Amino acid sequence: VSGHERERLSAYLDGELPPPERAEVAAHLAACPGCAAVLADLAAVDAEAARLPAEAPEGYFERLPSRVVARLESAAKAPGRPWRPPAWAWAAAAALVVALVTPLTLRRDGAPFSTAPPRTVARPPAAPTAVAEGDAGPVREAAPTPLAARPALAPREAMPPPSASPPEAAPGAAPFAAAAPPPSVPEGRAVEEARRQRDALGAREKGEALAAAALDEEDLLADAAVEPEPGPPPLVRSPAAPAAASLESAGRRAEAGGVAAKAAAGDEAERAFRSLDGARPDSVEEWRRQRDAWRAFAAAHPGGRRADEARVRAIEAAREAWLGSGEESDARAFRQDAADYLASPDARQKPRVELLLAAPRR
Amino acid sequence: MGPEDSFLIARARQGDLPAFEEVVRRYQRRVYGVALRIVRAHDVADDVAQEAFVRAWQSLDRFDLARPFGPWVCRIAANLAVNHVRSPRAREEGLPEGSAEAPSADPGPLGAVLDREAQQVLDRAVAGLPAEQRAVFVLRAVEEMSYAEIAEALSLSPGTVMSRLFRARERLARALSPYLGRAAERRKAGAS
Repeated sequence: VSGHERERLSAYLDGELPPPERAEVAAHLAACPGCAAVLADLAAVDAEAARLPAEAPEGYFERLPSRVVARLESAAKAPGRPWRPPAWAWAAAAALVVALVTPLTLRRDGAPFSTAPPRTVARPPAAPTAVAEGDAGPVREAAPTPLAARPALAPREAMPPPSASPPEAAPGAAPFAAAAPPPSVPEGRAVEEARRQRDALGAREKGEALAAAALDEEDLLADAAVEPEPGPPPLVRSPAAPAAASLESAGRRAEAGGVAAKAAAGDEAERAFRSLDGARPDSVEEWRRQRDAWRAFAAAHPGGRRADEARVRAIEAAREAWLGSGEESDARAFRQDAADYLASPDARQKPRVELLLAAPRR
Repeated sequence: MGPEDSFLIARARQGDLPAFEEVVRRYQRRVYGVALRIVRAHDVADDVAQEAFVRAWQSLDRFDLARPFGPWVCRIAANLAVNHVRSPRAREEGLPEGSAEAPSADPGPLGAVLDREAQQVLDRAVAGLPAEQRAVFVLRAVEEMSYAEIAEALSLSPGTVMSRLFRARERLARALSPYLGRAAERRKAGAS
């Protein structure tokens, strides 16, 4: 019996042959004891395999449902994970984060931008410019910091190379929403507004903020053009409990629309980004919080120009948490985030994430 | 007899976690079984099973209430499990794969002992299959999914499903051949 014929027998066993072929094989089987024996063996293999036990440790199935529910409950509270909030919450949540995070970060140590890390200050001046499909204007990619320039990622021990597997085809939602193309913004007005915002900020921060953060005018212009916060982000955890009044106010702000609001949102998002960028976690727990914070930022600004960078930063923070703790749960979180990112069609920095996966452990 | 799955899932869609907990209770063994047969390690199967339910929850809006929930969530689990075993990390660590050894010359009393030994051989042979073949085989032989369902779950073409399934069965049949032969002899002896 040829390989091809045996393959047909296998498909015949499963009822997967088209009717003409099926009739042909059936006629052959009636006259060929050899093929009938092969078919019987294939069927026996299936039957035996179906009887193989799949046993779990005692008590496992008593606990699994509540563990799943606990995960879902914590995901509802954690940032960056899809939940099912009412529709009105999307805009309100995004605006709330901006409204609550920004003032806090501005007050931190009285000099928020002066605490920006060397990485940010030393940001490569000519970040690559990419024009995203459907964008009204240029998108300036957050400058990827070279791996070698990140002391936190100094290699020591072998890490697995990046997965070559295809994206998850399971109907689960990826932790990071795909960036939606932002709506068109009249550039002239946006530029004006960006300048106004920058000037206002400069006055408030006595000019020091912008300089320390190496935020050039082009950045601001890009912000104004492409940072309108489109699409519903997942609910995110804010650093302060949401007061009803704030929520309402934030929601109203999110709905306000208009070029000024868009530019302001972009500006505030940038400040939130820089605040996160300035954080210096020094414990596993802090790295985990930093990971969550980056996820929250990416989820809150899915169409923003910093979203992609934030996603990568979340992966980096997840890796740091893992390297610090050595715990498998942190390793899984890191690998899962990296895999999700690599599977994302809008990911812009896949090589960087692949390097993270391939980098040796310290 | 509790409420229908579709009722529970409809409730879960509205955010009713206890309803979804009941759904998990109903399908956990099946989902875990698919995962364990593919990844071959409890800890990983546990992760896969949990993640499968979490993703199912997140995707409930897309689930067709007219269709059975079990195959749907099992496909999610299978996809996650295969992605795990495809990962470089899993390959590096290696799966607990046994070698498909031939049975001993003296299998002992026929019947239950032979069955048990054949199952051990088969179990090791399944573990020794390439991950993609193993996943396809498990989904077909255990979950009885159609080629189209397997293809969808694992992002393969139906033709690839067919060939992988065939190759898996051939390898398993070879590993089991001494038992299959003895079973045939026993059948023949019983008939005469």
